[in-house]
Amino acid sequence: MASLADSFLADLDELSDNEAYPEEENAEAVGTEEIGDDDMPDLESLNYDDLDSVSKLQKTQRYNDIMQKVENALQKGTDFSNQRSILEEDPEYQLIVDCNALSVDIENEIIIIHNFIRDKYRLKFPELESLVHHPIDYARVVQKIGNEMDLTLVDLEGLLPSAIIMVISVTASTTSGKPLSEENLVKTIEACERALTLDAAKKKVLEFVESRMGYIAPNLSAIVGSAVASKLMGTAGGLGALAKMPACNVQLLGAKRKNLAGFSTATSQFRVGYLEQTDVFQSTPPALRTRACRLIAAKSTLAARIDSIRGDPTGKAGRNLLEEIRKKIEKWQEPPPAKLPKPLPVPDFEPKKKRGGRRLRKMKERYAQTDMMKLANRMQFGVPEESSLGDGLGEGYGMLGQAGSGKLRVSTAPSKLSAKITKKFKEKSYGSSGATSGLTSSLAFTPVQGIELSNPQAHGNLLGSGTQSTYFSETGTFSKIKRT
Amino acid sequence: MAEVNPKAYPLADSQLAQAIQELVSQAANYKQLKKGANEATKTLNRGIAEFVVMAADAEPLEILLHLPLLAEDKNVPYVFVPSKQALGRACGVTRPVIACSVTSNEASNLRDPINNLKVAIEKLLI
Repeated sequence: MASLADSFLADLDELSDNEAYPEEENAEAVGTEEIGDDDMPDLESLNYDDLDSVSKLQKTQRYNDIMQKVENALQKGTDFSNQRSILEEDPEYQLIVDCNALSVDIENEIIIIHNFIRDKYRLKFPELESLVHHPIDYARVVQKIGNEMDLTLVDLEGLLPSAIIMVISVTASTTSGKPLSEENLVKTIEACERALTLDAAKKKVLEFVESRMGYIAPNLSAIVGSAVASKLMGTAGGLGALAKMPACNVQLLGAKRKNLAGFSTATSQFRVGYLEQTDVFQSTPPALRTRACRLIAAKSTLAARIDSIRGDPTGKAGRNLLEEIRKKIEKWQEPPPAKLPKPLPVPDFEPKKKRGGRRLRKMKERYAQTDMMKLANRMQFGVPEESSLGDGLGEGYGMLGQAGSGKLRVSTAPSKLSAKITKKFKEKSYGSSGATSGLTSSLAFTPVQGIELSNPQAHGNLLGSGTQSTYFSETGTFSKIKRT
Repeated sequence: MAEVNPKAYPLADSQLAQAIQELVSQAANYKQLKKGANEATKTLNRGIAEFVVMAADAEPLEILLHLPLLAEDKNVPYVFVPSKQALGRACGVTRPVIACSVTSNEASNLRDPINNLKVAIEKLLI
């Protein structure tokens, strides 16, 4: 009973805290009645079953204070003609820095509530979480469907695209889920309403920040957008601190150190930080994103420096820088100029050097082709040539010996060089004389005339009768022994 | 240019600008020079800057007006020269240079000229 009393007191405190949210008040009142009717002694052990144990952001003082200030600022509207003081001393500027941090907290809180809703609603519709991925869309669909089993009676128009509505209807007709109990249904609906409330609060905070971002940092917002500009300022610690950063540090703002757990970085995606979320970066082809990120960081730093001393409140310099960025990225994507066909090189017109002179002419005459080789290299048409081995085998003679003389010797006009050689060897005569006996060779070799074939029968007449040529001839060279 | 931005203060006259550019050129040869606004920002953050030279005809001038704030925090002299093209030539760069920083080196031969020029720059602020 003591624990129940404590929970009642806590609920009363919650009711007093949530005066600004009437819808949620009614939902929690219904929840309180349900909890009171159950009368369970082990209420404390159902920690994860209770939404308040997992979702605590709306109870914090910081959240309520910031939301109150944002409400006041939005109602006050945009009237900055009087505010020309230093930027960091403006209380609204500090509110913007707080709003940046709060929007991150709201985002985390919505994810926690989405996990809660998903765990509750999985009993009824297990396939829905794989069909609807966005937490806010999921909460709206769950709130709309409720405990209805026939989805043709539920109108999801306006919440999702028509194709997904069709898939959800078909899947719901074959789902294995069962209707939720009344208690679980109430908790799930309450969690959906809280998620939608947080989403509306986050939208309000971002609307406030982005409306003021156009005033605080107009040039930076022109390049990277209001959302990324507010994130950069929040991470850097203010516009002045952002302006004092070098560009390579601005490039890494928002980059989270990735724990690869031993895996390779070859396939890991290129993650930079907040600048990755800009429109210019996302519209760049992936191969050029590294260079694009570096370029955007450099130009964003220049824009932040212009904004830090309020150099251009209209944001014209930022738009010029953005135009420069777009032109550079388009320039990178152009293909290289086509290669023209290369013409042939200019030919060398230098004339050949001609050689002449007595020495060259004598060298040519000494090594020139002989007349015998010229005839051997020629063939007469229709006349077969003789060869050294007969029947076309061996060395062909060509037109050599075709004159009908039967000799292979060629009679030519004597050249000067040949005349000298002939004169030189004429004194040494090696000719065969007529006194040659039958036992000597009839083939004579002369240095001048070359190989000469002679008729051995020409000496037969000189030797007289036929008996003298026999073994017992008187003219033989053997020694004779005379009779006594 | 015809008119100099009044935010470019203190602005060196032609004689002092000539001396600054000569010393910047020598510092480039001695590897005691950091060229560019980002690198000048880093030298100021690290505390190794002797003095900072900025070009008065940078367009827009606000892209380097964070350097005087940093230089005031680090107690480093800073000065504006009239031409970014001339400053680029003094740095040995073919492109214009809008900001550069001469760094410290205790063993350098340039220490005495640097100290003399720092005194001359600080006299402009009086």
